Amino acid sequence: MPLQSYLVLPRPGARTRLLETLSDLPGCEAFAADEHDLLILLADTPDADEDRRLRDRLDGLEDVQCLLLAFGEIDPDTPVGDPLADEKRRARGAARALPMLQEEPRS
Amino acid sequence: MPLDRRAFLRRSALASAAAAAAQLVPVASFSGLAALEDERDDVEWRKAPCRFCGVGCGLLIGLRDGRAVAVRGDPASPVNRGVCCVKGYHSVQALYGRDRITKALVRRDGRLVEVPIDEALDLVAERMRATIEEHGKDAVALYGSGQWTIPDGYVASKLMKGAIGTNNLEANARLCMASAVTGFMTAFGLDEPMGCYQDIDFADVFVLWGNNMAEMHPVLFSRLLERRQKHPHVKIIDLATRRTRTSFAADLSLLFKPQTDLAIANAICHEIVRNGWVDEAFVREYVSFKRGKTDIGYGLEDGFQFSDQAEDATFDDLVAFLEDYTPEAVEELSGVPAEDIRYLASLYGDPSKKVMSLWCMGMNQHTRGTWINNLVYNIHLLVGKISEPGNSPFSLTGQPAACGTVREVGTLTHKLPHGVVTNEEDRRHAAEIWGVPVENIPPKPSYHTVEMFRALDRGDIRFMWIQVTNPMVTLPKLNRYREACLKEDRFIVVSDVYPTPTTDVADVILPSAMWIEREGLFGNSERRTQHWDRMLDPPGDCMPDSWQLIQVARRLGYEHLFPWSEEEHVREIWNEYRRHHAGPKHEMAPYEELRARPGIMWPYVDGRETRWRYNTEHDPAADPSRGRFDFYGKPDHRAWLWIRPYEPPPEVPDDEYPFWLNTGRVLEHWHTGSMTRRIPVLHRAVPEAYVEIHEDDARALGVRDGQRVRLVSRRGEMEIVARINGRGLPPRGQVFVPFFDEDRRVNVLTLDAFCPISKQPDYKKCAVRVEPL
Repeated sequence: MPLQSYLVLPRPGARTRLLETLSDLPGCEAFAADEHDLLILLADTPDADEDRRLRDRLDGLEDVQCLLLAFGEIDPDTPVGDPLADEKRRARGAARALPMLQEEPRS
Repeated sequence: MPLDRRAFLRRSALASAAAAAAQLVPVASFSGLAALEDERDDVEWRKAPCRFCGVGCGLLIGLRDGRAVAVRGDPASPVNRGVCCVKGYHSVQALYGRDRITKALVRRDGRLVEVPIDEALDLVAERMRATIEEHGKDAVALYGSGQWTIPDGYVASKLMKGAIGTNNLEANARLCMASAVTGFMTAFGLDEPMGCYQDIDFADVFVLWGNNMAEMHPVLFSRLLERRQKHPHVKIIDLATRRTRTSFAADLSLLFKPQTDLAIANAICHEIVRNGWVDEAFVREYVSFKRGKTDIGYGLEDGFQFSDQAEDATFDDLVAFLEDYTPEAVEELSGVPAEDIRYLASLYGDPSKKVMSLWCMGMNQHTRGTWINNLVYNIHLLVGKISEPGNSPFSLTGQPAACGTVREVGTLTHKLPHGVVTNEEDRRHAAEIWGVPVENIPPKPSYHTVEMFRALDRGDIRFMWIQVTNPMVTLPKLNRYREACLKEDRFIVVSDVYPTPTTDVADVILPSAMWIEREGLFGNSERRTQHWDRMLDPPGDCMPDSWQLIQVARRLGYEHLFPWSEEEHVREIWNEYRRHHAGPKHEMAPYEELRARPGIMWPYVDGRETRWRYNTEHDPAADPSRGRFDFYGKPDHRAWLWIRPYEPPPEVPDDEYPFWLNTGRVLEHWHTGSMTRRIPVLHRAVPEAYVEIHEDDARALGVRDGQRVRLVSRRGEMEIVARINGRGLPPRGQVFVPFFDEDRRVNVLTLDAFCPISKQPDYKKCAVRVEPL
């Protein structure tokens, strides 16, 4: 069950609209800074496919100026380094940030 | 109770994002995150501002089974970002002292007897009514506090000024912040800082004027230290009359002789002018020059009256005036080396450096408190370093709501929620909102705090209601005013949470609900209003101070002015109170937003806080056609630079009383200690007051560390233990005593001289002698 959090920089004037858009995405919760144009997005999806679909949708949001990964959980079901998805993100100027959390061993 | 893995990951994810956001935008807050608590914890976390100082740290109170069991700093608060000081972390323990007052008490035949609270409230109302009928409405008085919540103060103001029709309303902030207020009003026409705490994140130099910030505003001081740690060029300069923990953390510690801060400020201005560091364009466009009266007295006589008068002056007048304040001349007077004065001036005068001046009681509790506030503003005005990020003369506050209640609601004799009683338009504005005839509001102030207690002593006031403060420890020249309270035909009502020397003189004691036992709002030093919900049931018959006032008001026949239910009265009061401040110069945030967020600064215009007032880029009330700045509080839209001289204090050491006495606080204790001395860890840290003596003076007197001594002044005497080479180091010829200890009341020694403009007493300078025991 992939889980990430992001910092989201909206395009000027798009803060409120983007907050609503992100909040409506499946598996997502969004929080706006009280006095600044900055959002936190928590994305909690049931499986890798949903996670990939969500990331594609995030990539397609015009109101997003910049998307920074702040936290990501890796589990064996989530493929790392999807070349096509990575290329799209690079093209849109998104940045990746550490850390990536290792899953604890299953007992 | 352990987290499950998913909850752990979710919390980690949010914490990581919040931490990253804090690095990018240090003052960003996400109040929505605070609502996401793990519901499986059996501790519920709710936000509240700290009960103690004027920094206004945001706390999260941990609640379980109807008790407050934990405290943590609120990471969503831009004030403290999750950090607290030792008092904040232990604050909830103040709710649970063993001797908490939970029942109303009435003094009968010299003994306090428990009575039902309704009976006590009936008695209070009956005595108020009888006093007014027999002696007139100016024979009753209400003395409140900078620890009143905003609703408490609002009800007090509406009752006394709007309903009863007397201006006999004062608050203990007269003793701590009045000079800051008059400093603002004389220079800018409007109260409270033009900047905000965010200035700390931009400043290159911090000059602390007589403020032991490390102990008095510790969380803010930690932000200064963090700023310096991340930016090693940043300098902290401590200007003080004794060395403290602040001094040892500063880059430069300068000691000056008491009262000579006036001369030092003028000497800095002298150097700014001499070196051509004046921002001439700024001065030409945004500054007017004024001169006031001199040789203005000290208020020592009953009925002392003073009114200042502004005369127009010029920059050339200032230059001529400053010729007497060369660094060499001021070194002679103050003891601060001329080269250090020049260095200070160079920091202010360097256009590449952003400078923040910070002060509190050292400048405010001063017989020329208004003047020294003016003089520090003068420095900033001459170099154009004001009202922009990092360039900030910043007056710090002592109490959690000295700003939010006393200054903004206007619980002082001359004040209204908006404006002053002497202004007819302001009276009409208040009367309309209150729903009273404008004739109800008296157009003349009556008594400031010291005069109010003098009036009680003389018998001009016969009834006094004291709420949330302890004047029988804090008033200067204490013995006179304690005896006044005990005189025949004086009726004293005290609302408090614990027994104090003030409840000792009460005829009626009303049990108050404390802090998170009732809904409330505070307002801190940086114009931030903070709300909290009621989280706990108050014990016994304890009742919010506002509700006590409302109950008495209804018994006096004013129910129509105070119609609210107990459940809704705070919200209804806030909605009514906001109307007084409508407009871009002072708009207050809506109730619902205050409930949701960790505080909101005013003016709050179109959903945004105004962080830098008078700056046309940041302040919607400032007119951009006037350029970069618009000091709209003054009729000429300019800041007023006042020419003010050095004048000595009324009492100085002599052969009979050879020591300066300075008083103040310590980190661990809040004010008179009625709360913090009931918190075991804080009490154990500093169990009793002491007198700091320089080691050479102690040796000359034959006094050892820990030895008992007698301190004697012209007003009284006390016994106390000596402390040599402790946390505070006074210079030779000076002693210091903290005032938190009700068993060692230092104010029996102090002098009730005050700044004639602000009426604020000077607790930092009088003369004593030390006698070994």
